[in-house]
Amino acid sequence: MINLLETSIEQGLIFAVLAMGVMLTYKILDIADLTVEGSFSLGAFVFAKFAVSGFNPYIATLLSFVFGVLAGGITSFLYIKLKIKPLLSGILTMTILYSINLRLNGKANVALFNQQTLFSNTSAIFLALLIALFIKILLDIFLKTEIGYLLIATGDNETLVKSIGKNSDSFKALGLMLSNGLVALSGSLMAQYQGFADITMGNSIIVTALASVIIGDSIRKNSSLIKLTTRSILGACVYKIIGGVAIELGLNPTDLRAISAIIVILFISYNNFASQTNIKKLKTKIGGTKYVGNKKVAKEL
Amino acid sequence: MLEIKKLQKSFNLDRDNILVVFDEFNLKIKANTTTAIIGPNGCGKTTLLNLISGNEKADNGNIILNGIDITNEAEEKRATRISRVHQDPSKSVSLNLTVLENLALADKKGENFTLNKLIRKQKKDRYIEILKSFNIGLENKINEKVKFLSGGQRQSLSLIMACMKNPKLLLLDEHTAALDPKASALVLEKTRDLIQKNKITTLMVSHNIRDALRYSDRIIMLDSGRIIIDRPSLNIKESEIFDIYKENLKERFVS
Repeated sequence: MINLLETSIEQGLIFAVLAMGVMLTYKILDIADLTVEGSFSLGAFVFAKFAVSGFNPYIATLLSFVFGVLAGGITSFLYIKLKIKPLLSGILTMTILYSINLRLNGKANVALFNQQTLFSNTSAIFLALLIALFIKILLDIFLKTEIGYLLIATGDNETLVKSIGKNSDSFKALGLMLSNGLVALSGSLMAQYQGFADITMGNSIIVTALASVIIGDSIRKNSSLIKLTTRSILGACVYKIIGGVAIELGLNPTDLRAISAIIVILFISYNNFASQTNIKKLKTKIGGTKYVGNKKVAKEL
Repeated sequence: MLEIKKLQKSFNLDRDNILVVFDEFNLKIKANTTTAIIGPNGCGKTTLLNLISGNEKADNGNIILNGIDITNEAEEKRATRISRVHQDPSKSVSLNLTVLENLALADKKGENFTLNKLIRKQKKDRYIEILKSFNIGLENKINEKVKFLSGGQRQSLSLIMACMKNPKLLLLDEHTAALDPKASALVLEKTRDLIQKNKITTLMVSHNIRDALRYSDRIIMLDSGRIIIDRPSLNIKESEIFDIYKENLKERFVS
């Protein structure tokens, strides 16, 4: 059981990097970016390519991030310059990346057992925690800068961004690139952790990422003290623990996808209905228990 | 000074129908004055503001602000000189940011955005002073998210943000139409104070003829893209405007 918990948290922390990346587009820019399905495995394959060619694992990991940024750049180009809807832009880039990923090493699965990786000589949980926290702190600082605030404002109100003399397109591109960089980094770490890069790694990864972001969002929902980055990390860990427990309870690993999707459905619908019940409760509070059943009074309130 | 020369704008409704909004439209607005633009729906009021702010591109003609031809400038470039407050109180602010964060963003208008921290202590004190001078209690809500403010408070904040960097031209697009009468009166009073204090050239679009007369130096009535009244606000009565308004409407329905 302890072993299960440890593995879940290790993977959770690696997926936290993915979740923080997706948080940038999904929560801050309000774009559902499907590029991540390709950029996650891109990160893994870029690492494999450079590691096998004898590069230092740190440099190979950094290069994964850089290639992820480029992948985000392709989506930004399709979306902003060619005016293709963001959802479709993401799907198109993801499709291109599928072929690129296979080209990179010439095969769909690359073993990394004999390669030097970041996890080779360190405790996995320690390193994953260190990386997740490092990225969290960097992102927190970034989101408090002038450019960071413009990124938030772009997702919130483009008219405002224009009114302060800036083109919101540049900030959408920045967000998409940064996001995919982090997703690729996460993919690279995952490949190093599990000892291989595989073309199916990225399949439905968006659901995993969204599940993490959404679970993180539900933790003390109305508290403004918990930062979005913290929520992403916690969400990813909780998500992985739920998955681990599900397998422990006898479910097949292949069932996990359905479970992920169900988690997303449950949490989104919970969040949607929870806000409605809050209003109902408030109405009951103001109207007094006597009128609870009286629809007309409730409406007036 | 704002000068509009031979402005032309039409919209393609569908393949065969073209709606001509402005045809050779001319207008001069003196510096440090407030001009109110009134007129029935579809007369071109909002299109005019859109053309000046760069939200819409003119088909032909020139828009000249303080001697600079801005006709071909992008909207965000014009925004460094022209501020606009929209009718919807949520349109000029970021709802998920705090009052302070919104002010800090507006204070950087037209400047380079860097990786420096946006909120700084010495600036924060200045923002609080500005809010205090506006005197509606916003200084006590600096750390509150704008989505929790009332419409009147949001619109006041929009105004402060619009005037922060002393724009060459302020466009008010029915900015009190979505507010209740009390909030509307307050925001209009505050608008006048702010304009007078900072000597801002203002163009305000309004549906309320009384407000338009009261808060402007000059009143212009548009109908189908033409100016049908252009008088100093002191020299015209509300009833007179109503009569011309009715007459024009009648003419249109008869023809």
